[in-house]
Amino acid sequence: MLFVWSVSDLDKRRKITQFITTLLYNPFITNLFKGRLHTGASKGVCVPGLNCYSCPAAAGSCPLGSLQQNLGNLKKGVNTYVIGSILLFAALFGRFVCGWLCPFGLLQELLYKIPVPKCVKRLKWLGWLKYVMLVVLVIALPIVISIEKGMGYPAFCKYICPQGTIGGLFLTGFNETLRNQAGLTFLLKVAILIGILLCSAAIFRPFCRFICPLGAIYGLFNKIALIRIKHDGGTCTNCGACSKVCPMRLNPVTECNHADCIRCGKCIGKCPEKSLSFTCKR
Amino acid sequence: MDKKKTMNLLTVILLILSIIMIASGAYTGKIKETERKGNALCLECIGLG
Repeated sequence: MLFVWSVSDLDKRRKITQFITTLLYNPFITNLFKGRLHTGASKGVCVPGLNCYSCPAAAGSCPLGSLQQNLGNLKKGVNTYVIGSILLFAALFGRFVCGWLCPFGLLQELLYKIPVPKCVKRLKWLGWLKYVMLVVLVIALPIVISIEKGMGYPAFCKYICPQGTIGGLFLTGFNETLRNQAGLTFLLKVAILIGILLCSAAIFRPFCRFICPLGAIYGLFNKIALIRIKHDGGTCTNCGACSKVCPMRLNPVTECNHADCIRCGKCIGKCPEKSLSFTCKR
Repeated sequence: MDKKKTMNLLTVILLILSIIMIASGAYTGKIKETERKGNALCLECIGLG
């Protein structure tokens, strides 16, 4: 049970959860080297985190990709199942999904362990970019293109999503037909992927902080999600230990349920007075 | 109503709404539609479209 774990091993358990989640999302690893997709009924299930359904190893569907597919083809009606799934994950977990259940977040965290000089600035203004991505590429463009041409496409997936590019690299690497289709857009996406992976060594989770539209959606629900972080002002001595350790550069004393908090729990583990805790209660 | 109760109410409303939406989607065949989309290779998603 999450709420009775000792705070000292919270981070270790989070890492284990991230690895298990990555495997659960992508159990068909052998498909990576065959250059073909897994197909089956499991693709009808939306996973909580960002995980491209066109990755050869993927078992489920990406909620963001499914949402864009639907918005690009509204003639068939609104896909309440996909929107309901995103709302359910948001209401239950908020950005807990980002911190614990996202494979691309795990990859960025592993890269952050590379010993290079780290950027410790908050870069708050860049955080707004993910909301621009959400409104323009995820919502507006698929709808506008579908009105113009009759059928839209998932614009965020097509031009930005580095998670899908990883699957694309395996597909183009092991499937000659697909390799021949790779053009300028693919090169652009590979460049974005390389840029994000390089930045990940110096900046903690740059994609999650500045670009991810799914994180932007979940972040909007952080304050009302069932799993939250509670700050007990009565025992807090304002020592500042929590804000020093926060990888998202927040101050947990005043911003424990901020839209950028990914619920990693590092502040909980560091608090000497145990003033911070995961809770379902208000 | 105090802030805590309002927030709790919002959470409950959101949970109920999401479950209703998922159930209605399942009833109208949207899970099958999602499955169909997921099983077809989305060239745009991997940058080849």
